Amino acid sequence: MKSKFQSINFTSSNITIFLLLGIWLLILVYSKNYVFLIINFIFFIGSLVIRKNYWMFLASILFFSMLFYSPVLYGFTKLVQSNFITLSHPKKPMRLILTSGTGKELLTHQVLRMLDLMEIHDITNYQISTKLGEDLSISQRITESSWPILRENDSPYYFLYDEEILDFKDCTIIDFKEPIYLVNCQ
Amino acid sequence: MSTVSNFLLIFLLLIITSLYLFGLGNIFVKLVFTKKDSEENKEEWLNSLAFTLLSGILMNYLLILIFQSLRTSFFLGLIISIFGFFLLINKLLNSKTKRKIDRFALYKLVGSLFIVFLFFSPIVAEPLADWDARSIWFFHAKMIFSSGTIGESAGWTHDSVEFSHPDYPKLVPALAGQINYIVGFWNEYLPKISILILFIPTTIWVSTFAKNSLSFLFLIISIPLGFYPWIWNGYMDGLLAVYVSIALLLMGRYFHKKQQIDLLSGFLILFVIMNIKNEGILASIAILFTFFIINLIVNKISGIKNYFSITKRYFLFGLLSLLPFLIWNLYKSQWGLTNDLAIGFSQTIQNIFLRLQDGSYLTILSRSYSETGGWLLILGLLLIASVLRNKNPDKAVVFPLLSTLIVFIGIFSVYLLTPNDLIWHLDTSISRTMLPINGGIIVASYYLIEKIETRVIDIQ
Repeated sequence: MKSKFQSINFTSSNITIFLLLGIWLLILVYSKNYVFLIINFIFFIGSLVIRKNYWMFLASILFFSMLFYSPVLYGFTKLVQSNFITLSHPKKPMRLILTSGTGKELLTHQVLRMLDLMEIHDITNYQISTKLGEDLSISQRITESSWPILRENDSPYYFLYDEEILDFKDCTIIDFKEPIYLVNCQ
Repeated sequence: MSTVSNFLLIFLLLIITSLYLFGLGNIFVKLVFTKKDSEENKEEWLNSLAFTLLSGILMNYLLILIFQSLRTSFFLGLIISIFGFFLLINKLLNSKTKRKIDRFALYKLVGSLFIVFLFFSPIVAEPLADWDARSIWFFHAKMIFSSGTIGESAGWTHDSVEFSHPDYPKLVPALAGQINYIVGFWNEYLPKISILILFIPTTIWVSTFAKNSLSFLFLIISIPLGFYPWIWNGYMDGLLAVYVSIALLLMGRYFHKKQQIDLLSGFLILFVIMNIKNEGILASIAILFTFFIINLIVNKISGIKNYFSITKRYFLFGLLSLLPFLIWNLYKSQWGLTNDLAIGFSQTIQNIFLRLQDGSYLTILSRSYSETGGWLLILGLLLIASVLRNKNPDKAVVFPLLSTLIVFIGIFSVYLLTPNDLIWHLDTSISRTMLPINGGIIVASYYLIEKIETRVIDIQ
């Protein structure tokens, strides 16, 4: 170990690296990241002691760090999982990729109801009630999924929750699909 | 239709799109480079292949921006692309030198296409689900698809799309919109094929680093999988991080091998990432700045002269590559599209000082650290190894680290000045904005491992 220490050339570049490592260790102490500190310590001692098979030691520590402290393992799992599902049942994804309008099943049920109502009644523009508009997972999703049918501020067609129907008593009810009403306020 | 015929159709679509883009790219390469350049780069055909494909992607975007109409730009692009192939075939037929097929390079190409195949399922076989993918990037693609144009009539200025940041760059949305326009329908799967197409040149470039070594194993694992899940969920952050990493890798190799194609590929990527996401502009400026500074320090005055000669020589390359970015910005100003972070100078300065005083900057630093800690650990370990093995990091290591530091300062400043609630802004974006930083650390780690392993092999 002593000779290993003595073999280090204290060039300006090495001193810079020592300074950087010092800052890194300070960050670890400050953030109380003792696991990283231990890994650094083990690696430092290991690098001084291990002479044969150092390459294996380096590779082991690197891959240990990669697997447990980076998204690599999650990424690999997801990659395998996704390929396994697609290759086990290739019919469905292949059909879905090449069919118009697929993939809407991930939308919320309110958005799906609104899309249904638009299609049934051939709606070309619409507005949504304040309550529907407050929920971004509804307002943004309906705007993009219904496009090119536009949300227009002067549209007579309103989508609203069933509990809001009293606020629209002057409008004509066109249709209802739980929990969404489509009304005409012309 | 049967599953096999569906698979063949998708496969055919990928092949035809890639060939169309390759043909377009070939014209760009012919316009920009001389015969002498092509001869110099002949040995690096894999690198040239990726370069041509990415040039094609950029030129296709340029055509869409110039003509706005998807129909006109595609038919014109098709004619140019066919002409590009004609030139390529003509060149191959008239080539006097006998070409030997480099088997190892062929294996590399097959390997890189296999990786693209592995990523087909998570990218294309899963529908658009995540927030920004639906609300921003592929909503823009849908707007382009349904109007058949990237022009104002796509609806960028409509009140209801304000939430969608219509000012954002359109490289991927334009390609996605174009593919769906040609196919003739919209769904939540097929547009994602545009991500896969943009992924192809990156895997080819990574394969040019292939060798039987720990460093390459580290690279091929970290570059795609380290950006999980941002490559396949339809966000642009993963793609941006991959491209930033590849640019740093190629320019790092330029420091070692002085191959011109590496430098040009790096520059091309910098022009492309400006059109992927706004953070790409910051990354491009940071990388260019660091590259020139390092070269000026190393090469002194001769370096400056050299760069001026390069600038003259590749002026057309730079101009053509920068055009899409300039045109989109011109349209933005014409249509009055502004960024949500543009809040005025005095308010910006006020926000910065406020957050420096109230300790918010510590929150930004700590949240940034939590996203980059794992890769910093690996870098720290490799720095220890490099000191103990007396292998000083060279320019290829310093370059990505300095570039990354500048990018980090830029992102840190954006968080300081944000008009939004800081915690909300951090919660919704820090895991994505730190990806290019992680990319830079991965590249620096790669070059450190490469140095250390040669030393270890020397000793053994």
